[in-house]
Amino acid sequence: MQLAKGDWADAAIHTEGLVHRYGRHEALRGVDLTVPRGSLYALLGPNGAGKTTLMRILLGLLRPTAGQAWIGGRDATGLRPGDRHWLAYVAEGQDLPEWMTVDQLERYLAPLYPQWDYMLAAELRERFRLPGDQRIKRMSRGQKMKAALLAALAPRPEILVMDEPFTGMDALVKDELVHGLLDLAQEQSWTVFICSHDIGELEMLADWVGFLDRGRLILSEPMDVLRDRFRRVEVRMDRGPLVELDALPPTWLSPRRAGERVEFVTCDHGANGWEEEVKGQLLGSRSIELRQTSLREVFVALAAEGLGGRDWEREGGLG
Amino acid sequence: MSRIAQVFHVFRKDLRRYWPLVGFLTLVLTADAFLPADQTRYFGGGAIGAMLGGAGLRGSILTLVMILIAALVIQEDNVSHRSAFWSSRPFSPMAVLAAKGLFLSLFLLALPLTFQAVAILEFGTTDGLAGHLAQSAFFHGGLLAVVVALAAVTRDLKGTLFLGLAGYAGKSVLGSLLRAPTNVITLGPGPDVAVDIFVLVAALSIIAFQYGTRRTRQTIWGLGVFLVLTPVLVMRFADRGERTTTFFEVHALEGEVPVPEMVVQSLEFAPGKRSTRGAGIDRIDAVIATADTELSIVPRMATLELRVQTTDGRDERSTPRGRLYNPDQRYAPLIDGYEWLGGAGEWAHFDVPILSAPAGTLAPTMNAIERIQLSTEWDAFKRVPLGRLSFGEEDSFTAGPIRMRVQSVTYGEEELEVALEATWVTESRARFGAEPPVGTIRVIAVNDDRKQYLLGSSGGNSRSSISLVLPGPQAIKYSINLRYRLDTESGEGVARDWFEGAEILVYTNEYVGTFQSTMDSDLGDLAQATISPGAVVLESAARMPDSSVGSARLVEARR
Repeated sequence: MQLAKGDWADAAIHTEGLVHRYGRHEALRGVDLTVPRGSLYALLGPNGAGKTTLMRILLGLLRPTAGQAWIGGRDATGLRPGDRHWLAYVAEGQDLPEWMTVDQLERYLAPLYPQWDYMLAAELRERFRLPGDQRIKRMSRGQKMKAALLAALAPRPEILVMDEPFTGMDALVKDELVHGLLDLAQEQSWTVFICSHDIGELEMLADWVGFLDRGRLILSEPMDVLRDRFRRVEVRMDRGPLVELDALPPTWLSPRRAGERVEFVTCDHGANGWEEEVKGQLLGSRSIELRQTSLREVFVALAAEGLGGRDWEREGGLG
Repeated sequence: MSRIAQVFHVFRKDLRRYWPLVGFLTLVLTADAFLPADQTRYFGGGAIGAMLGGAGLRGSILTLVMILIAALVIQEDNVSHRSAFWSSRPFSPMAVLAAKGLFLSLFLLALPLTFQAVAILEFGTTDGLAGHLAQSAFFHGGLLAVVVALAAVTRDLKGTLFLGLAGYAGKSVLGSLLRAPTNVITLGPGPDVAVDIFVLVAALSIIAFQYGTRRTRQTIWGLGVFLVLTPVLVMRFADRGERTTTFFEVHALEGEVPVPEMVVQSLEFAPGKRSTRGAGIDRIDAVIATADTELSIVPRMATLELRVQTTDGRDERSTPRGRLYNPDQRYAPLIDGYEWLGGAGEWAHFDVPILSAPAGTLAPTMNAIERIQLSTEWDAFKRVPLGRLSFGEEDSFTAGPIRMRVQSVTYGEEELEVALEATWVTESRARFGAEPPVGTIRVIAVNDDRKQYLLGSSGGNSRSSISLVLPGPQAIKYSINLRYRLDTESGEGVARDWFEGAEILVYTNEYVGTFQSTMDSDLGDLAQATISPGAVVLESAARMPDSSVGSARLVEARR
């Protein structure tokens, strides 16, 4: 089914009320997600949040229990082999024909893609320093991932879905990959949908961020918006009655007290009357310090809230 | 790339990957087709022994290599792995499946069939060649389909083997519970061809479903349900009167066994030693009751029946060892180490691998038995008493053993009649000069409905015999559980004891009509009833000389 024009026709990925259950376990609980075409979208979430399930549904490898998913404007459950010409998938632990050399792998895959770019493949092999005559099974984990990336990028896909592509790589290799990917994605206007626990790398890469917790997408927005509205806040308090952390507003994430200081991450920085609300909530505050948050801090704050049993569903997320 | 082009693309890739295994397969096939197989020997009982003994070691290697190739080729591009390489690439699932089918058909079906054709032609016959090849292809294809289905739902070879063994064990347990002869391929009794077709279609459907939908979980559940339900469905819907062929059972469809070829031209035997009682062997009769002349990749069996007459007419236990020879001397499987608990003058049955084809080559079965060579070793028969009650130091009452003979099994519209003959011995002993204790033995048959039938009773020092017709329901199988109650009355009161454990199974779905069967029932060592069809029986009789090697000639053939 084609995505209706006028709704999300320009979205690379769009889901509505996506639900997936493994037996009694609900891995996805009504995910509504939109990934703009040409964006580098980083999907964050703790282990078991449902990231891989979501990706496998988008790739047509898994059927959703309920809801709908479109990728490249096509219904993800009805993808045809030809649709995989413009759709690439790289995942941690993905099977590769390891008995092949990289050269053989290229020769095996190239005829399947009408738009296979031999020049790009050669360039990637050089950039990734991949030996063409070495069997993949003899390669390191990082090299295997590079080989998988080469196989995924050489056909010049419009949408690249990556599930934990940096696992097992050292910092140098990660950096190479990130920059290589950034260059290519910008050159080619590819859409990259990526999930990883390497948040530092994602922060360099992504221009959109989503956070999935226990099967629910609790935020999805451009990176610059996220950077604007999330701040780490440190409030110095006069001696006085202890602050009840549980009574603080729900937009103040992971509050904790350390002596005279109260720290938290706020997700509504910039809203009108924000400072007054801090002062009102934290009576006896002497000073308020604001600091730019890293993506990692945002992730930790959100994940901690989730671990604490916060009911995002009732609150309608943070988006 | 078109779908057809994808098929050949994947096929070429698989060939590039597995050409060493295919090359090895071709080598073994060549060796199997052209080298003599007369060094084969019996490796022990059961399926593996028969496989090794009947088909030879090469055949077994061949089978394993073929299973290995089938499993690996499927798992090379499997879908049961969460991250299968091909599934997120622009491969058409049906093209991948077709490529696998092409590979397996070409190298695991057409190639062995070619060698089979060569082997058949080497035997100098072209009669029914196409039919034989088609039959072999069907049977062999079914076996491959099962392997492929197992490989398709498992991640690796280890998983395939584990699931295969687990399935085999489960099937055996189920077959045992159903008390039905089971078949490795057909998973249960019933019309063979229909079941084969069912298994083949179901296995292929599972594979097609998995590749087509990529729904691994549902496929695995489907396979499980299929494995569990098949025997049950087969038991439920199998037509009565159809002959069920078990894995190691002989094909004995009336009219299909070419009687003239089943000639026992000579019977040679060495007398071996005398029994410890000193009794000599008076006579050995040998009968090839049934045999198979069909082509198959699994070894088939002939039922060899032996009867021993001792000079004093008393029981003996013997262990015949021998060889069957066919005219070409091509195969000479041994019947070695079959222990026989035969009573004097009673028939004992042996399933003898007469060798069909080395597995994989699908070479023709031996179609004639030229002579049987037997040697026997004799031990004194150990009488197994049913029960022994002692009264004092020397007084005792002993009963048994009981020998059962099924004289006939007759179908009626509503019931089944089993005519049984039972004989047993009771002995009383007493101190010198004293009266021996008087005991009574009652033999009671209990059928599945818990109805008990008194077969007879006797006491004192006697040899008793009784015949009884047991009415029973029309059933697929008829089971008679025997238990023996020994009531001993003496001046000191009545002692009662029950002895259980003997069980006779009579499969009544084997043939419609009346047929004969013999069975021996020594407590704790009771043989399963063996049904002789009586349709094709060749008898030869030989009188055993006191020394040297004797010989026997065919004296009678009857249908």
